[in-house]
Amino acid sequence: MAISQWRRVASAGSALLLCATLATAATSIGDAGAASKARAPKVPGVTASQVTIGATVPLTGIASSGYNQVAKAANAVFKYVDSKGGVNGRKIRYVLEDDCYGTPGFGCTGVPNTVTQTQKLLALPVFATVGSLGTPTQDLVRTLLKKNGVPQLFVNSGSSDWNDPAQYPGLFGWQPSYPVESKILAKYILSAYANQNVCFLGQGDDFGTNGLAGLVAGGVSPVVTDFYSTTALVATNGASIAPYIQAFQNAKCTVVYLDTIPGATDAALGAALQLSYTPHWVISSVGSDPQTVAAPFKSLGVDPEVGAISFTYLPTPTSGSPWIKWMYKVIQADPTDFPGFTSTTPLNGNIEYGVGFGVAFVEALKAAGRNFTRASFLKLLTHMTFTQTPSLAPLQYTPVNHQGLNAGQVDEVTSATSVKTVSNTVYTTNSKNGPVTVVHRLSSGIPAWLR
Amino acid sequence: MDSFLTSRVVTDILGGLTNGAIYGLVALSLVLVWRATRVLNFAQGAMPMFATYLGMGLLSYHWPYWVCVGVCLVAAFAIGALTERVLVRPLYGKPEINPIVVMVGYLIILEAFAAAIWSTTPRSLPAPFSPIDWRLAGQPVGLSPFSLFEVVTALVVMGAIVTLFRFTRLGLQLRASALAPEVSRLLGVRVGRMLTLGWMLSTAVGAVTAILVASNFFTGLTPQLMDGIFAFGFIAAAVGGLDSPVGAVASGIALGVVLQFVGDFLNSNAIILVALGILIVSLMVRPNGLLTRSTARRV
Repeated sequence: MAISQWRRVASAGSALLLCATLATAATSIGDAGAASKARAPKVPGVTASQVTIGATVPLTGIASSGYNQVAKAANAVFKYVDSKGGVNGRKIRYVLEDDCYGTPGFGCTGVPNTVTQTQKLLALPVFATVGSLGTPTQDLVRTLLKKNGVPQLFVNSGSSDWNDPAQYPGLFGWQPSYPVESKILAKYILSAYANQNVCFLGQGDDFGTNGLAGLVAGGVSPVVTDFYSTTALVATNGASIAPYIQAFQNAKCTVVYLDTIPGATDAALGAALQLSYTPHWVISSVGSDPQTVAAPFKSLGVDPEVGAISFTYLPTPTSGSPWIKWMYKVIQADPTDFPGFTSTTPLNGNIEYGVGFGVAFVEALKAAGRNFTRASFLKLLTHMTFTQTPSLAPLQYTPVNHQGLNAGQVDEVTSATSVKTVSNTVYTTNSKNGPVTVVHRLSSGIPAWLR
Repeated sequence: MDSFLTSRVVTDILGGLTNGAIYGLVALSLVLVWRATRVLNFAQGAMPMFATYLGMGLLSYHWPYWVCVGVCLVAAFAIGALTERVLVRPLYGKPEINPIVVMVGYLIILEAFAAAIWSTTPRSLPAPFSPIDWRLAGQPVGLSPFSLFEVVTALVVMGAIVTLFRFTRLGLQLRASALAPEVSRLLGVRVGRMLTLGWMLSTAVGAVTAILVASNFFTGLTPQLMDGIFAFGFIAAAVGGLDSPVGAVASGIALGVVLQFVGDFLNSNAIILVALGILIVSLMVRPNGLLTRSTARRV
């Protein structure tokens, strides 16, 4: 009796385990359409005194560490602007729906389904989604948003999927694409680490492959290239990264380029530490935020990321940029979402990111004037150069280019809380084979109406 | 000799032993609960995770490391006892799927609560020994003081559990309560108490594991700390046989070594596929587990 019972339980348990494993890979695409039944006002999401926008973001769950601050930082900007009377007489209401990066478990307390959460925003309705996070999650709702005529603005991801104006005229990216970033870093590698062996580790999706393409287009040919799977990374608590680092050490690479999320960066740096392997690290901005990366190493008393080279398209906290001071003011004015944030709390990349696109939306809304529609707003965006946002170089869209920022500078991690610029030169390039050139026209300071 | 010790194969074996010791401990804690109450505990990772937060959180208040470990164990005993008394007891005698579903729900609730209380940001736990690999003639050996500590801990815990079950009166009562509750009750064994004790022991073994996993600087302590590790521990328990503590630890260690070789020589993205493949094949070929000897009890 005992044995057959064990057999039944083991089978049921195994089936459950298999299902749980596979469920993380499969995401269902829900039915569109039912969302906007309510009689919409003239311009959906816009009243005489308010503009309602929204976003689906991972406030909890697998991707929430660090990323849960981005949209809240943007909201801090909106609250600050509202406290000064809003934009053209309207206040900005920013509704965040927690989609847990579309992945159940891992402490998720939202609804791990981006489609469901996006439909909630459609039902409000929102004027546009602004700063929704994730490549796979936002890919999933491109068609849904297009069908409902809702602009999908400043998607938080460096994928080139957001630059397809012919197919998705309402879709806009914000941060530099992965190839732009790796091409500019390639230029640095060629000058600082000339003739050294470079090894490459990237995420096994378009983040890694686009990043590698940019690196190669920039003239760096890695001697070993590897791609990790996020599923294996999570299941092994990072141990699946160690064999790659061992291989890099065996290949005598003195430069290692990482296109990794912060958890994978930790695993790579940790494995190298264990092996006493000390190459020059070059880490793309996605996975290099010093605070996030340093967290698991804190009790060890060392931060293996110190000295690593990375990339930024926003002012570094030690640069003396007036925007940094302004960000402190705005974040400190929002104790609801940032309790305990003081003038000595280190400013991290996630907060800067949120402030960055938040200010960009405010600038666009201001330029749109009192009377606008979704169509006129999008038309304005495609001809707009944003000179009054925190990004180092102006954000610019054209009718045929919706990617967003395309410039930045090289920086170096100096501690668990800070980075310094390697040089103040800001470079720009495109996502294809164009050259890397110096940007001469940088963003201006803080406009008077934001102070 | 030096080049042998630092060779790829030996390095993989040593690294695999370390990971495998952890899988073996998770498998052992599953076996303890299974033997005591015939419940497959899917919250076996989450309960110790919670205890680890409760105990190691005291590090922030400058409590000494080993005192915090002690608090973790006490918290684990308490969580194990409470869970058995409140959540599991009403499920005895119900279809086997009921406790499985309840424990999956419990897992999700515990992780959500932990995230709500302590946030999902990883917390760094100090390792009691250095996690940097020893070196021979400039080459890393694949073993650090901390990984040696992991392996030794796994063996000591397993030895203690086996000694308890085989050579003590309490162990005899535990086994008797699990296998023949009616007879045990007639003989004066407090069966209910024994079942609770089984859950307490299991959660404490889990807490030791969770502390080791969280001390690893790859991840730190997070609410989902044990999710991946649990899957490998479950596979080890299923392959080794849920009735055999020695089988569970042995197959955990073997699984660790095999997967290390898969990661190094094949591709570390294939680790999960190979692990699930091993589970499926072993359930097809030896559904009772490799080291289970209780075929005689088949009805």
